[in-house]
Amino acid sequence: MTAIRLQQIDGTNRGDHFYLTEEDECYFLYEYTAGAGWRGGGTNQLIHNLQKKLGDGGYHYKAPAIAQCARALSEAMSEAWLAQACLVPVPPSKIRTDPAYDDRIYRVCKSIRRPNEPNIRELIEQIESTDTFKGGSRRKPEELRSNYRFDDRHLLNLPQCIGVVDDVLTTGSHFRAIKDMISEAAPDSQVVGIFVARRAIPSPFESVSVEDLLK
Amino acid sequence: MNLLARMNSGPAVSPVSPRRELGAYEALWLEKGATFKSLAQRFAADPSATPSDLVSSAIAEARATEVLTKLSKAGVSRFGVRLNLTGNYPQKLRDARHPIEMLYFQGTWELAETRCVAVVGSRAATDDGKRRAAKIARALVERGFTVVSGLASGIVTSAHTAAIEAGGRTIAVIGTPIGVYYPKENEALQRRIAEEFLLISQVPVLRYSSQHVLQNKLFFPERNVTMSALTEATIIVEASDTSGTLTQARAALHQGRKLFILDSCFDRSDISWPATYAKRGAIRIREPADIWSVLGDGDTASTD
Repeated sequence: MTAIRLQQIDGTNRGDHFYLTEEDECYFLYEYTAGAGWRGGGTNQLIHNLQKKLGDGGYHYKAPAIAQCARALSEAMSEAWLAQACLVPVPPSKIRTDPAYDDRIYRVCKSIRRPNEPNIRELIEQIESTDTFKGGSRRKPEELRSNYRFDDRHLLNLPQCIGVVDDVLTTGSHFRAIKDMISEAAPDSQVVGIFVARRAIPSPFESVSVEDLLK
Repeated sequence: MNLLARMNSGPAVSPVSPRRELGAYEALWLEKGATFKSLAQRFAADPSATPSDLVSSAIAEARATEVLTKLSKAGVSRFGVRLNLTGNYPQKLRDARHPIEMLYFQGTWELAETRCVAVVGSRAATDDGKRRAAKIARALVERGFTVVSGLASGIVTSAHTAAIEAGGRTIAVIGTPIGVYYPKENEALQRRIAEEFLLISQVPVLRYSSQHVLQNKLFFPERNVTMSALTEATIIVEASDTSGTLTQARAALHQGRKLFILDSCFDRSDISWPATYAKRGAIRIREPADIWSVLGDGDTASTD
């Protein structure tokens, strides 16, 4: 596959991500379409494989999916920026001691530009495990924050450039929560979001309800 | 920090802003003498360039604003773009003689990543032709293929409609910008395809609105080239010797796609193109099995 470039969230697509503002600098590799019940397409397949849980059929596709994301990000990300920045994986919904703990985002980050591993800081951790999103409203940034805490060890000598990394950008609530926490703790930091894929809302002719935007 | 310095020092190598790129693409199209060919030549000369590398950022921004205003006025609330050198851009488009750097779409992009077959033919279609188009479209749906066509009147409308009625998937590649409906009587169908399926346009919004209707007609055969590139085969149902459909026949063969011609076309004494294209490698279809023996089965992708 040829190397692809990161795309930016801008005025043409920001409306799909409820919690993002013009001040937010976010990048993504791929898009997938919300709703429509459609599960085909390369991006859906990649994300589906990336999110496989231990015991799921096709779990053996997870590691190659992680490698594919890392490879694409390696090619699309600036070496100079990575050399002075740190990557902050969005914490998994299950905590470390939970049998369903899934550190896929950390593993993606770790494989970027192998063997020159980037500076990764698991700066934010979740206090308690939560259920993953299933159909209902997603959690608001403030709800997410109430279950987040800093791992203080990682706050020491924190680089100014920080990339918050996640697999999918939907409402932007995780990014919002984490960026705001970091910005409050380290006001000089420049936090950007880096996503494997963003979900696009089709609705070609009608305005979209807040409920749909929050899915 | 100014914008350029920030871009160069940011996390991405040559980050791509869809807004900036579509503005730049539209600006390139407004240059005198711009065609798909002239644009493709510029990008062939610098394969790592994106439209914004060839246009000042102020102009790209201004054009982007114009496009978004125009589309919004046309009732288009949401749309997407596919840009060369970014994720989800279909590499198969590079098989075209003059590959397009950008396209607009509305709807579910994932349909473009299914197995797709184009069904095309004359706008001035006979009733028999329309029936045949519908029959082929239903057969394609049954086999798991997505039916791609051009949303003009005649054969093409029958193909889209039959695919939808059969519970299948369809993609329309149109010869007008998104938000423009031609022919007018297909407006409801175009909106339905955009809402429930996938609508694709490579036609630049500003150039289209700034030039004469006769010049805009050239966008129709050009979209046939893209339709062919997006699909693995083209089936011609009915066409005259001067039909725009033959643009797609030429493109299909040039791009290494399968070209199928319905048997009934060979029975006509008033046209010579079927025999010509058969000699060049097109496949004569006497029954649907002739298609499956070449293409096999389509997708069985679930829609759960």
